[in-house]
Amino acid sequence: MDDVRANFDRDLANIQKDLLLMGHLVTKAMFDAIKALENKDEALAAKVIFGDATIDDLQISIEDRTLELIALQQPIAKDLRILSTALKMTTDLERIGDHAKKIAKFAHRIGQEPLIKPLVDIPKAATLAVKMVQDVLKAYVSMDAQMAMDVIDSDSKVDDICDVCKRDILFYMVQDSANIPQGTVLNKIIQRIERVGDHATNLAEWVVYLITGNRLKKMEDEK
Amino acid sequence: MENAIEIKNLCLHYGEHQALKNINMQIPKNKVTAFIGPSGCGKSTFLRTLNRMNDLIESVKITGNVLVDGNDIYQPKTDVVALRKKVGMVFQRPNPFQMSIYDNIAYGPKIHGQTNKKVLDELVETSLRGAALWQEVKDRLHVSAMGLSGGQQQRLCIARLLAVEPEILLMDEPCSALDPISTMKIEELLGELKERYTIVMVTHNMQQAARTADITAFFLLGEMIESQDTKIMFTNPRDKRTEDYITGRFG
Repeated sequence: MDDVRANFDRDLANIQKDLLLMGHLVTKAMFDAIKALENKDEALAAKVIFGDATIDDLQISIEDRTLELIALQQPIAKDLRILSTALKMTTDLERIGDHAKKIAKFAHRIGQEPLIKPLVDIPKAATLAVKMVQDVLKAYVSMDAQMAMDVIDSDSKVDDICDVCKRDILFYMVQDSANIPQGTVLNKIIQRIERVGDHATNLAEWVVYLITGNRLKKMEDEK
Repeated sequence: MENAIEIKNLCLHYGEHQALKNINMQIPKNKVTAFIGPSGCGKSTFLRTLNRMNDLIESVKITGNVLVDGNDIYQPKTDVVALRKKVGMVFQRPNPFQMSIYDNIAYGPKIHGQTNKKVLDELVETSLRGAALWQEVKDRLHVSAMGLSGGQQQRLCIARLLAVEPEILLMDEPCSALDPISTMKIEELLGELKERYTIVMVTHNMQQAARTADITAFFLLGEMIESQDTKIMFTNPRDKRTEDYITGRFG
């Protein structure tokens, strides 16, 4: 006879495993998109753009299996939190994948054009934003609510670097109007990186909910 | 929140075997409270202590207090008949009397002294309406109750209870012998009944507790492990044993 609970546990574990795989794919896409920008590597940019379809497929697969388990197993307590957070987290991860794809498209648009300024802060902000995502995934694996909370705190650092960077680019655009087209594109890239930090924050909030059963905003209000 | 029943340090022994261990709990008025737990955990035994149904079993010994409206029902001076009128019970299998639908309902008020036909007629109608059965049986009140479906019979038993004007309804797995549609009707009825009565229910169906109860209490090996707002119970229970049971990790 099949052990119903064991089968359910296996399905839950597979969903969590695929969520981590999705996390790995989006962080890699972000890294590659920035690398393509830095190295003017149009082939790598193209790889990121086409690779986004895999991430989208994975999202749909996770969502379908999650909805199926909700319908068939009527999960409660922690099981319900695992599945509901999987639904929310795939949305944020998929959006991060979209931002990577968009950054790769911008890298492609800049192509072999000389850069108006050396790329220092953009890779720095991107690395930090991607690290936030990686740390969330680590917190998810180790069920460490504190680690997830620390991720939320680091979002302001990403925002600070992005602000400095935007001001910097504005300066270059004011100095020489020929810098405006590329300056505008770089600004859009920064906005995307900022959004990745925001999605990492959302992910961290869901991990805290998964572990504690409490919504972070509510916990803060109660303090 | 006003309490209908207060239980203090309640212990129950069947001979040498202790079936309930030091239960402390409040059951709020006009709410549905559900008891869940694996078979043999003591939830039905506990339900039966609330209107002294265990008195009928010889080897039972009970200590502690059960206060209904502030009065300890285990005091020697308690009028057990009056208690069971106030705190009525619906059982797992519908048990209508072998008589007409009308007489099933009128039976209780009659033995409590009501003989006025007009009053009885009204009682039968309001009780059947209260149990959401009136529309289905109003044209055949004088046919045998044994011809009703299982779900209708269970609602008839609820109507029979309502006719003696209780305050608290105890239900021991009221839907376990019913099909899903009849179960849904009883569940809908619970929502209406709690406006006027306090309901305490034992159920093996966790989804039923989740759907219908305001408060859920989890029992294990004679102990009450956790009593919680149902929403919290099924999303974030406090005790690991509760979590393990409701998610099917043991039981």
